[in-house]
Amino acid sequence: MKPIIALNGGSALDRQFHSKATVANKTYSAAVAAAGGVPILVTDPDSIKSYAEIADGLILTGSLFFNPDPERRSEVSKAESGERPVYDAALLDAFVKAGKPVFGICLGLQCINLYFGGTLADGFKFKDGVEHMMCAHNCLAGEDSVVGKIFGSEFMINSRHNRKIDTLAPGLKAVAFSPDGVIEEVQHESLPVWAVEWHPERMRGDHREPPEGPDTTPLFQWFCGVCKEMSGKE
Amino acid sequence: MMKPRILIAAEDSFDPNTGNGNIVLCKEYSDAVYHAGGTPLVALDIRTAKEYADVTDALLLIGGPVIHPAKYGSVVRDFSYLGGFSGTRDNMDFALAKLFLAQGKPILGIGRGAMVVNVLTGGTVNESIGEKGAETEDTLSGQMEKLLGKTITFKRSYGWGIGRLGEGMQPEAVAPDGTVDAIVHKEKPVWGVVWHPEHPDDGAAPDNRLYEMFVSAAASAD
Amino acid sequence: MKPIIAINGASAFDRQFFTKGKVAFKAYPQAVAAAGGVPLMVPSIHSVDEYAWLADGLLLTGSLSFAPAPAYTPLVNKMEEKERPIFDSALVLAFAKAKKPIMGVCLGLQCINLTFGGTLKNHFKLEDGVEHMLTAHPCIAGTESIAGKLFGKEFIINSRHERRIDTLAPGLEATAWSPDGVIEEIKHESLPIWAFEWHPERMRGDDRDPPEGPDTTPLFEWFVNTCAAVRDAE
Repeated sequence: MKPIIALNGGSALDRQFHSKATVANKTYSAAVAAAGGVPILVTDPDSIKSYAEIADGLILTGSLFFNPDPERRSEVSKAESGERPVYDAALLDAFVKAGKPVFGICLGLQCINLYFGGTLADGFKFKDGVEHMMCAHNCLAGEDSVVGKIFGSEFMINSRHNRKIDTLAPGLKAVAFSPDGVIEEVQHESLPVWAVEWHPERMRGDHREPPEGPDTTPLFQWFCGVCKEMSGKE
Repeated sequence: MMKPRILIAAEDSFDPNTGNGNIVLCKEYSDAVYHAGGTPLVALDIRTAKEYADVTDALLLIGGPVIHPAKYGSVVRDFSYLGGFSGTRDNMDFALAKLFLAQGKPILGIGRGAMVVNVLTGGTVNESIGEKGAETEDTLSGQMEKLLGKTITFKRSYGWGIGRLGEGMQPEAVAPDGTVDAIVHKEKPVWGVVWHPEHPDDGAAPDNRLYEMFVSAAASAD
Repeated sequence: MKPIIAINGASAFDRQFFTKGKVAFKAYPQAVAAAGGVPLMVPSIHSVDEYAWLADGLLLTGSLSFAPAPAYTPLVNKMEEKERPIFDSALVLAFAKAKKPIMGVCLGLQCINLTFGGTLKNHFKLEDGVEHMLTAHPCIAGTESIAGKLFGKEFIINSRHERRIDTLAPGLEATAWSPDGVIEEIKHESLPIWAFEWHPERMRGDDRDPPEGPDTTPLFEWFVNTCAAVRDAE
């Protein structure tokens, strides 16, 4: 039996009705499906507890909003910044309480850090003079890095974020870094919670972003494997 | 004798209909290369950048969106600046330019391409150079003067341009306010002009002399 | 040395100047590069003979039109119909004359059939009552089918065409069919020319159109290797 992996979505306006909707970039679900998991998109805020019961693990996805109509862009991005963190934190809380594995990506990592009591630095590039949006750089993985075990102690990753972890939350440890010191991977000391600041879902197959980066399919296989093992499913 | 093969790093466009990327090349560039005596070829996949550099004679970098500021050690201050920015385009342009520069093969940068050449050699971008569409009359010097005369008048296609000059780059077209609009490498066959000689809308009449010079250089390079 | 694979472009408007241009859908070069070839788009109708001389093979791509603004779409479609067949036929003739391998996809198959003197049936679905646009169906491969050798006697393919071969050109033979009798693959009797009515470039990796279809990366590897073998035999 394949493990069921819950994916949270971003805020969107439905193209047909122009009413509120949830959007998930297909790269996440394709990565989970290819790694032997069953991806499901969680859409109903009132069913969070049920999702945590049904699913064997959670991937907290990165930021995304979808708007078919450019004029209503700000409306959607407001929904993203206003409602989403609350929903995401509630989802994370339900999975943590259920003792089920969580893997955070980008905004997901930031959400995990906030949830456990850490802080973020917004617009850190202005202070630090380093650009981490829409570019690529090395990832320096420490001994405990899950990603490092799969891809080695140094490899190329993409970079698509304007915030970074400022103070790390109690219980979390940083296990990989960019050359300019941004935390690129965290894990929880006792809970099955891991997260990365970059986007492994964009680095699969033979056409990757960045092209120099490794094929990250094994990372999703690892996570689906953890979810399956912890679920006790045969 | 075979005509020189001119590799063009083209536009990288997102097609909302297919959800996939396309490589697009405006006909003016391929026509300009052909009429200058070259065979135009378009690079398509970054994984074969090295092979492109090996099998072609020169590189044409063309017009397009702004370069990601991280490429010249800066940061994005206003996201509206990025406009039609394309990370895959940046990567392709820079990967190819680096290889051609290392092999000593000719590079001509047109518009955005001039800025790519400048950034590649360690220069920067001036992110607010003035109004797009504004007319300027530049004073030419060096190779540009020899080729095109004492001055050139054109309309600006970009609101951004050449900033601090790259290493080995000489200014050969300078606007009255001091803005550098053409750069030429002191030793290598590398040129960059911010105007579009192949494009009739840009104020200057279509003028193939620059392309002819470039294709000749490609023909004589080993 | 990796073989150079020429890729013809489709009609496009350049986004910047809104003037005529050529476009290549990235799925084609990605498939070629992943298969070990060097994909190059050939943009100038004046340089067809040069292209046939310098490239080791030709990938004749399917229909596509790209207009950055919807208002321009009809204009681009018109360009596609008028100019493209002339350019594409010239490429087919030049590569055929140089005895270099050609692989046609969809419109590419139709172009090869027309160039060698066959005919097409437009909107065959209205007469035959079968839909072949944006759907999927089995491919029944004969003993001479290249795809059949790689993927078996019967496998699922996508279907995205309004025209089909009516009369096959002299020198061409049909090697695979849809269950409703549409020719899905052809080869030339003596020249290294093969073509497919379906879109193998959309069936690579682990996220394919259709999902039931095989990963077609081996088909591109076969073509790239064929180009290298033909080149090395000279």
